[in-house]
Amino acid sequence: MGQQLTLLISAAEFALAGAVLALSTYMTLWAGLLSFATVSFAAVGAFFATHLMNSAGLGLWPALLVGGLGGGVVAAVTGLLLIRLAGHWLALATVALILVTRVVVVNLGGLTGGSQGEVVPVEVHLWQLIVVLGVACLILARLARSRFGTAAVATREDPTVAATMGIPVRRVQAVAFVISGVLGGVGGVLQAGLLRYIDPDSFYIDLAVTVIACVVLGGAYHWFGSVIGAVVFTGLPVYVNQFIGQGQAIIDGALLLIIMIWLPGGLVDPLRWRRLRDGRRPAPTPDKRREPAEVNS
Amino acid sequence: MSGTEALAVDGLAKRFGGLSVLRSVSLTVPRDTVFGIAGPNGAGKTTLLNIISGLLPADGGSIRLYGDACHHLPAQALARLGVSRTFQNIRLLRGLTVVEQVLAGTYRRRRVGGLRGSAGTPRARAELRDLREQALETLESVGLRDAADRLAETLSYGDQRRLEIARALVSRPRLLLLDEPTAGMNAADWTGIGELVTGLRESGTTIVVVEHNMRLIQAICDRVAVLASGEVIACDEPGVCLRRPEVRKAYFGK
Amino acid sequence: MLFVQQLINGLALGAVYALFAVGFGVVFSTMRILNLAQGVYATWGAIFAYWAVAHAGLPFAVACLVGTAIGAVAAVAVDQVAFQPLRSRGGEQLLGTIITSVALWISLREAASLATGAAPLGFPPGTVPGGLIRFAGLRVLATQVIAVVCAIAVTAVIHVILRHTRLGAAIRAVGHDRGAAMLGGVNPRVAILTAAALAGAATGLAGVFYADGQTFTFGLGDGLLLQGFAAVVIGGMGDVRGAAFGGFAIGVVQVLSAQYISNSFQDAITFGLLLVVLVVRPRGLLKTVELGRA
Repeated sequence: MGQQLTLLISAAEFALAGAVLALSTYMTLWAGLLSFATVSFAAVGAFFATHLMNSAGLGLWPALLVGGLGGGVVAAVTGLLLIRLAGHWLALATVALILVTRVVVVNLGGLTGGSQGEVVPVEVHLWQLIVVLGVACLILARLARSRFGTAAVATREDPTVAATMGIPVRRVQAVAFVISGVLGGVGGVLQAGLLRYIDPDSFYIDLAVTVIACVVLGGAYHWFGSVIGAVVFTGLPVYVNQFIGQGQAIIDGALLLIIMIWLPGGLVDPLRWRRLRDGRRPAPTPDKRREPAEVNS
Repeated sequence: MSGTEALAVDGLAKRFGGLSVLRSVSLTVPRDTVFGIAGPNGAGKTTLLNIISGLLPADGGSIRLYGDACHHLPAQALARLGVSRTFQNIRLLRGLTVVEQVLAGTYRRRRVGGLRGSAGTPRARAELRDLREQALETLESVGLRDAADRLAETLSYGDQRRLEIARALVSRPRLLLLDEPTAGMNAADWTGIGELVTGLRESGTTIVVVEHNMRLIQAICDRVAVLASGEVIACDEPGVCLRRPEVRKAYFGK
Repeated sequence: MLFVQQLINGLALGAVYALFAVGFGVVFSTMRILNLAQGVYATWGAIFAYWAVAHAGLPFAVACLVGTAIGAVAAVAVDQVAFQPLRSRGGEQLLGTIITSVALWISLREAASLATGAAPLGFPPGTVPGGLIRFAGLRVLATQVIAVVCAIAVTAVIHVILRHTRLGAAIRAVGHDRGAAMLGGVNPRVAILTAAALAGAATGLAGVFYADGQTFTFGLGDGLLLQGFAAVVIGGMGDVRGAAFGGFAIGVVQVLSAQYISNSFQDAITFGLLLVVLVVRPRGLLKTVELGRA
């Protein structure tokens, strides 16, 4: 029984940290940017904060602050370069960013422990994770009702129309990217505190895949979807692993595939609910969704 | 001279690759009038509207909005100067209800942004409540108030057009651009749109409308410019314009 | 002399990347799918080729064909399972196809791990052409020559199919406008399956060549995916020749930087180059005004 409880708590902890990272990715999708850069921001936050924990004896809260700051600064810089890229090119560029980040981490041995990695001296507890995620959710819920929220949705759905409504599309995307950076950095510190040991592979493609899967699985059209997705996709495996063992990834993959095909909007899908509520299928408009279109600014 | 002109387009040119879509188009739209732009398919009407609303850069010529040069500005800056538009193929935002679509159109009128807006201060709430009220009033004016909380995509085609106009109107534009507001509509629907436009002019909105439907143009426009092959071939009151031989030739090929 | 020798080694490695990149580029440019499952085609191609040689006793040339065929089959299967359901839904499905490709990636990777017992595999000695060509003090392995020749040949064949046949025109059109593809008289479904099969075949062959000189594991495709991805971006996606060039370029850069700079900088240079190209090279990368018929 005690062991089950430990496992459950561990699953919950990873789910909560995963949720913060998923919210970081959600931020960019909100403004119509498909970005994998969350993992890079997390790496920056985690290694930066861990270095300061080790060298300056930083505690968890200042470390989170520092991590978020680091992620935000990196997001601001990379955002300047990358946001002008069109939809699928941005996705490619952010994958590249993850690869480059790992290389940088490996080669900055003095700060990051290089390929050996380094021990994280500060432990993260469940209640701290709950507090951080709670604050993050509160901020996103507020943002959703603010002027920014409206602008982000319009930018995502149709940047051309958004521009004709006076919405500064690029600026909205840049703000979303920076907030994503801050959340990513914070999530990285949390992840580090859970792992207690980080190396260059702690923040690599597989984490990127998990995070984006959480967001899409949970529902990419509402921030709460990211939280649900993280519970299902990062928390559940930690717990269920004991029963399955080998072949776990096959089940993960099948789950992901089934959800994408049968529930394309994810588990939390406000649009589907609204359609159900209105009790009518959309008028049969030839829904030619435009490419993530763009505007000259 | 800028006293009475809402929009002055002078010598506007645009080419796509080797194709000259607009060659030296000039026209002036007086304040508080409805100005029609007509012409056969491919005449450059929509391109002209895209340039005026800042979605496309012009290759030459100038545009003045209430006397201020604005042909170098992007769409969002023009929107802030009071240019608002609809699209030929209705472009509503997916997933939003009718009133949310209109609220999105109030973006440039929202003052409480950034941190204060996100913090949900009383001022931010009051502003949002106020704008929602205005959105509902605008919906009332196009006859959609009862549908306010429905998903926009469930509206009929004609109602989606009205909704798009409401979204453009709620920002209180100084210049409203309508791109074929009756495309694909039946007679009952388009006469309704005609009445709506006439009502708007009376309440003091300057409107430029691209339209195919000559009967509608005659009914609602004070002046109409006829474009053919990227040039203005006639610009006058609708009744006069349509009797011109060059206009009849462009339209009916005789 | 060492430089020329390493240049040759780089080209041989680059041939593998080129084969992979050509497949990746075809799928990305015609179907707009960022296919992260591409790497496992190579893994499975290599595993089947290994089985053909080590267990069935077939000659290496046949093993290459087996690997190629498996790659094509895997690609078609993945397309039908992961992409077709989204495609039939219509609209832009970039995010959806990324997720379903991830689903197939992790599933097929795990399947490969189970199939091989997660143990390293290696082609038994003597089964891979071991010939050594000595020329002016240079040593060139027969397999290196085979890889380079195959990479060039496959690129040429796919290029000709895409650019100079009606089927190829349909494949290119399908990514942009399915209606137009119909008008050409070619069934879009046939065009899509052909593109997937071509891409898979090239990738499967890349897997065999990647595996033939060393021991490999079920993770073979992951490394190839990253390098091939870099190659495609650097070389350009619109044209398979660009992708092939990118592959060769990365192979050469990797081998030379390992020789003259440092082993640990190998990836730094490749991926740094990748990011710089993505950010700096404006041609084809920057957003364009897209208004539809607004």
